[in-house]
Amino acid sequence: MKLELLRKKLELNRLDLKDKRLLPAAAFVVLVILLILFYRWEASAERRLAGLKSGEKEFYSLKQDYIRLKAATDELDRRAALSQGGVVKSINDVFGSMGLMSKLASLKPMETKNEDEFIREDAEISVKNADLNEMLNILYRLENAHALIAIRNVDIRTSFSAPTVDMRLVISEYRKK
Amino acid sequence: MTGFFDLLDPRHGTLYLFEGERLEGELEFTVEAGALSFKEALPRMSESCLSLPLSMLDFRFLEFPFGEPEKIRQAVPFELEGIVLKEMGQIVFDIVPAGTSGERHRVLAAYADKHLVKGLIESLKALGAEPRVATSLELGHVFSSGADLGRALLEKTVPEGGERPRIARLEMEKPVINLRRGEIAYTKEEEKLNSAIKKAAILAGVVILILLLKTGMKIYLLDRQSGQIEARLKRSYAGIMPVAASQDLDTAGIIMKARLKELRGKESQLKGVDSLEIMKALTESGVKGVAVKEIAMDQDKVLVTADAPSLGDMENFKSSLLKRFKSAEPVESKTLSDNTVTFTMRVTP
Repeated sequence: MKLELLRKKLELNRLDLKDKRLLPAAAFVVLVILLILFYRWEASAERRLAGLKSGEKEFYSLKQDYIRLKAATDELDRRAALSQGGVVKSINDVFGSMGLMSKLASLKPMETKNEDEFIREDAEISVKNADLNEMLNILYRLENAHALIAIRNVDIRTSFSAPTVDMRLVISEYRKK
Repeated sequence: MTGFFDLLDPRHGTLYLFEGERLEGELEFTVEAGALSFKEALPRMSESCLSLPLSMLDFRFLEFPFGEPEKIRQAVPFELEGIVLKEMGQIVFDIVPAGTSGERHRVLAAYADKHLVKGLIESLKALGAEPRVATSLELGHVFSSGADLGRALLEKTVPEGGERPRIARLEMEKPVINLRRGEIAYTKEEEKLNSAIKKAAILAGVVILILLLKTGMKIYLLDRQSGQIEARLKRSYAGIMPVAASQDLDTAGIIMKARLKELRGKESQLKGVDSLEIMKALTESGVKGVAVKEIAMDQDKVLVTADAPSLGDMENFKSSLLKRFKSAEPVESKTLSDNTVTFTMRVTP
């Protein structure tokens, strides 16, 4: 009985002693764990910042493209909304406005189809004996017509006899549905 | 140099000074009011021991059912309580094994007045010679002589004067008992170690705290910088694409890329061939002597058929085209009888 009491007392004393020694060690371990956590947190913050910096860099490079493309497509949309009367009328308007109807050798309307929000109407035109200036004027007027006209193919051949060119064009006119 | 304070009786004693194993000298001392007193100054000692005479010690034989010395030391106060006249807190003790009989372990408990021993130690400490051990040269002599412990203690057999330094030397190496336990334990080295550990721990703690502060500060700055970039990006998205601005940045980026792809597709669908730009670039790429006969273009490529006075001129024309177009390569060439070359060049706008 006496020895049993003694044994318990001894164990308690040993525990107290251990507790006192363990306290600073436990505090040290807690500090080290905190430090590890802080280092991991720092690494994560660094990764986040690096990601944001690269995201920002990418954004500014895409932003210029986006602004340009948005303006360009808005302009195309605006012109598509102005297209009326079909591709034959538009081509006649272009050549007529330049007084070059005589150079228009042929005009063949081709297929008409639906493309997304637009109706696309294709045509093939042939221009004969146009001088270089007239050729450039025709291309310019087609590209900048009121209606939205897209040139698909251009085939230009020079003549042997005179300083003129023959030109074959496939064009598409887009109008809003 | 090491020293052994041999108390011959409660009033006087001899200090043996050793240099290694050799006895260097002896100094007489007296004990007055529980403190050691020397006629001359004590030499500097790296280590010292205090020995009490048998007359200053009391003894009891005790028996235990276990033999571990530490356990027995813990149990001795309970056994001595009631046997000794003093309170247990007023004595210091140690044990000496005195044989076993079956399961029973017999020990000799040697004890002395704590205040007396403490006073002697304190006085030596004040002289700069704190003893590491408080033993008994005479008990050591009895124990090592192999004589019957009980009888020897009763007769108080003590070694002769000339024999004592030799036994002192042995006691310094392996003391038979050490009364410096518990409250009066020798803690100088432990204190030094504890102090060093404490200093190291404080230093390590301070270093870790500084690192924590530094890391914390860095995290704060990184977060602040990230927050600024995030806010700037959100504002930029809001300026050009309000739909994306309400999303998190990753989603906003995905929306923007998808929108860009959509716009590129739409532009490519509606714009067609940029014929005037191509004609302008072809005109600027012209090389003297090279006559273009035919140009065929669509959205992906331009085929230019031309005549050149020589292959060199054709190469010059190609180099000139490469300055304004992504690629230019001859797909067909034919040298005529007059060394002129007719060729077709494939150009990518």
